[in-house]
Amino acid sequence: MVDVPSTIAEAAEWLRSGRITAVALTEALLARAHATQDTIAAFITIMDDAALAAARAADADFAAGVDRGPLQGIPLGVKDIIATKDAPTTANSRVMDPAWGEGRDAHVITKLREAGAVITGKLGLHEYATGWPDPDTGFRIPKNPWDLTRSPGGSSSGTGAAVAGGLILGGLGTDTGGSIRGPASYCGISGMKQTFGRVSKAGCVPLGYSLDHIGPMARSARDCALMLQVLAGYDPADATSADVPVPDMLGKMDGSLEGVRVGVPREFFFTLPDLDPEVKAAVEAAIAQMAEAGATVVEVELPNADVAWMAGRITSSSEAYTYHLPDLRAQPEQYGKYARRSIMFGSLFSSADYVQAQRFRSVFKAACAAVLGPRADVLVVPTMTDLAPTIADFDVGASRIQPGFMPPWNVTGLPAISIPCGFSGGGLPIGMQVVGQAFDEPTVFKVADAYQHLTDWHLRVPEIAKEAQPV
Amino acid sequence: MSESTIDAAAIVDQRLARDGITVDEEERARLIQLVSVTQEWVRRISIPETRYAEPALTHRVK
Repeated sequence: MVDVPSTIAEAAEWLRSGRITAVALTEALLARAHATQDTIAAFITIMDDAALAAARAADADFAAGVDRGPLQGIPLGVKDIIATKDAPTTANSRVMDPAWGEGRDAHVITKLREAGAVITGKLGLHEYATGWPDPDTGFRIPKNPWDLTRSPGGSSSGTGAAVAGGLILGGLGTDTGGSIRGPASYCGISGMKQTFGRVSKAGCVPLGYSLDHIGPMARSARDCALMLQVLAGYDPADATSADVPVPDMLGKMDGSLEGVRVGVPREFFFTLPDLDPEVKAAVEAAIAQMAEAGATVVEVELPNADVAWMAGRITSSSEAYTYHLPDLRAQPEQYGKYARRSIMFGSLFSSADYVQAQRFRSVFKAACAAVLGPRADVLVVPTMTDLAPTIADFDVGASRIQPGFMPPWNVTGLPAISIPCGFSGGGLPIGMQVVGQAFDEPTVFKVADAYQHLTDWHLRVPEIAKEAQPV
Repeated sequence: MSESTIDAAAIVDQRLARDGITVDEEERARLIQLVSVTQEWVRRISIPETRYAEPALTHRVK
């Protein structure tokens, strides 16, 4: 039995000390991936040959003294809405043109390969990153490794499930209204949506052009920072890419919360009637623990935070509807019913509604800027309002119109990471968000990493991850 | 059928016709039910401060 490291940071040490090779690590995780396809069902495509070739190249580089950084030889997975030249991109949809992205890598994939990462496969998702998994589309539906009857969240469901299940050490998700952070919360891992424009979206099928992000998901905030360091940077191929310097993402990590001003906007984020009491209690306890560790907790007000998610959904629905309009006309029957319903929602908004949502975004951004910086270094709020629902009981229609704590940070473009902060009495993970100023991901990572020095929630693994260990 | 229901149906039918999309009766009924939700959302984000606000998607580096 191969002993497998639990984090990217740990694996990077093992690879350099010779405790494990990239090939042995990749073989072990590929075996886990295959062994759990009938249970966790995280992958749409497992790329054995390409992954082992990349692992052999990483080992050869190590042997030759070539070190491309901490991702060299690290097995990672990719949400199957991001183009990879050595595997098809399906978006979990029969509508998707097989020619889209064929033979080319998305910008982020090029960067990962240049850093020596090993891509082991393409991961399941909600169709076109929206709706709800639909058995009619013919693809596997990823399950939550903590309870296989429950959802891993979405839309980056496969990435969340694969990291939690120990099938990869990290992966790429996409986030338009919480699709990285939601699965991170439900699956008990970390997931970062960095500042809008920080990471190129070129080579990713869009959902909401002005809200989409590609970002890292992994066990720890440190691992997410290691990944974001590679992913970040200007790309002229993405019209929304920001031409700004990339800081040292780990540069502020010192394990300390001393003097950090943690802003807590109680209204809406802690007063929503639908907020699960166990989620609220866990986040409150985490804030108290941060205060005990030296953080200064500041009560802040964020005017109109209770309706910011509405502006996000108006925007994402309108943008998605526009993108999908040709296929909605030409082949509507090819969509799964949940994706079609979700996308059709956008037909109800007018151009005036859309522009009004954009004007609201400007006002809400200004409200956040009046708090973040002047009054607080970060904000801490719950990630989800609830615990992972059972797949059978999930109310698809209601989910689209329920309030959310994640869309406000897509509306503003501010960086937000979800990290585990506890478990329910029934053993389900709970997550909280740490939100920062625009382009100040290092402070977000500092706070998240310091909290993870105080706790071990992020290192806990479900039973199925232990059982998946191959012989 | 109430007046608001008639208005919602007209809105849905007009939008779908404009965009050249056909849906089945179940989906049409579902969209009609959601019209009031979307109108309420737009009303709630139409706060006075937005009257002269301009959309901006960019951020400044500190």
